[in-house]
Amino acid sequence: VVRGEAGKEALGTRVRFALELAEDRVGAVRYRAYGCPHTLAACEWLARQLEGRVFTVGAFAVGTFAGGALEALGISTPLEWIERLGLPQAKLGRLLVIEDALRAALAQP
Amino acid sequence: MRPIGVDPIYLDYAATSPVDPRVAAAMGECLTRTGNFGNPASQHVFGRRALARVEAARAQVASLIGAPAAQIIWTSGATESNNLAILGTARAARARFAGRRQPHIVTSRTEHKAVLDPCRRLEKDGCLVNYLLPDALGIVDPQQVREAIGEDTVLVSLMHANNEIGVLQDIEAIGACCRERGVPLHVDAAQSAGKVPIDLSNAPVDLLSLTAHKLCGPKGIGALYVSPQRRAELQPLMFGGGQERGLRSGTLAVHQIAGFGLACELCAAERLEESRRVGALRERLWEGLRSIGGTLLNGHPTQRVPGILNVSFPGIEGESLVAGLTELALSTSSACNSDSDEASYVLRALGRDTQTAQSSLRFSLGRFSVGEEVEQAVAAVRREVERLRAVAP
Repeated sequence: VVRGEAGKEALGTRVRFALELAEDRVGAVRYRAYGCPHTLAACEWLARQLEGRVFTVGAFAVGTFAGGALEALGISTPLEWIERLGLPQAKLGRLLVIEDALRAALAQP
Repeated sequence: MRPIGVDPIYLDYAATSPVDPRVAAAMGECLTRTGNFGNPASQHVFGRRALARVEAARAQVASLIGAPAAQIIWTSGATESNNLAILGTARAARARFAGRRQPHIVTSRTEHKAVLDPCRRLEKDGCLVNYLLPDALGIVDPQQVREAIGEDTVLVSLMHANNEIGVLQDIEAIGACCRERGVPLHVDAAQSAGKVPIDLSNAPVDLLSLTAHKLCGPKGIGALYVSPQRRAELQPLMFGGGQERGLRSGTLAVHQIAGFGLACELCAAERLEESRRVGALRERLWEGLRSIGGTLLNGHPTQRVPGILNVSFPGIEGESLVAGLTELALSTSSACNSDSDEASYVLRALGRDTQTAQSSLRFSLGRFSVGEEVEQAVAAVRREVERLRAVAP
């Protein structure tokens, strides 16, 4: 299980993810979040999106590709999450916090 | 969650109140051909009938605040009354000062925007404004007012009951300070009139703003009480037909005025009983919310109007809390929406940190609130607070 966290309550958003990694795929995904309804909805959606995802060939080596782990799982960018979930553009900052938490988790050795 | 097709429970009486059916009926009598539809400025019988209706309403409004009817000026609501009091006083003062001195106004940081924004406008025009900081319970110390008044102070403007937290200022003591220095006191009583006793025959108040729609009356009608001593120190903002003795031109809206008058009369007749009933509901609500744990009361615990309760839930994100309370119609102090994360300036002025201020809810109860609604509100807030606490990191 790898864990990652980002944000601060004082700034309105704090997110923590825990991802169970098994073989070449993501197992169960859990999250905790302090934030607006859009933040909570995006966390829930991403958790469900991540579960069962398979790393692309050659990329599965958690901790060795901090910059590209989400891409290796085929997860899109926060700009695309806004589009996909119909969120206000003003929420991009909060989605970037979520992305940071996920990247922090996947960057763990 | 709220079942589809069912209206949420209305807990936002401080924003506005439904018109009492008795008031609506009285208004209806002033609209149609067989009723009092005339223009009160007309000389014929329709005009005279309408004028009589307007003057009867003026007496009803004046009676609610213990003032002579002749001192009531009709406006479109408390915002216009506040603008007339503040801008009208400042304009008259500027004319008197003739550029040799700058008019000075004293107000507080927790006033309604309808007071703060005219004051900011005046600052741009060269006036000086002092914004007093209340204590942590929202109370302005009369001594602060005394110390802020200077040689060029032309007005002190302080609200009676705060619209967000419901705290009542000691207007009599503040007015006494103003009288000592010969400075007029303007009071925004939009949230207090009809809820707590106001007797201007004894209170040292020179200008007082009222609105109908917080009293189960219609929107779009209000009044400004102007003491006879201060009338000459007020300049109008609107010019036209010279109605309201030149202070507020415009054809009088007889149906609105009739509704406002009756709303005031009903408030005066039922205030004691209603205050007790609504105050008891608010206490029941507070006890229920307090039992959730970690709940903070914003504002003074006892020096307040009966119907307003403002509470914070530290550690809970305000926008998520409100979004989950779909079965309740209430206001959040957070002003947190997709465009702004700004926290309530009133709660920030009381010393609450941004996150606590954003997690606050304003419950406001009124004439048609009942105990069952309070119980449902407590259950809904408990459910959402527990849900959000469970997912918080």
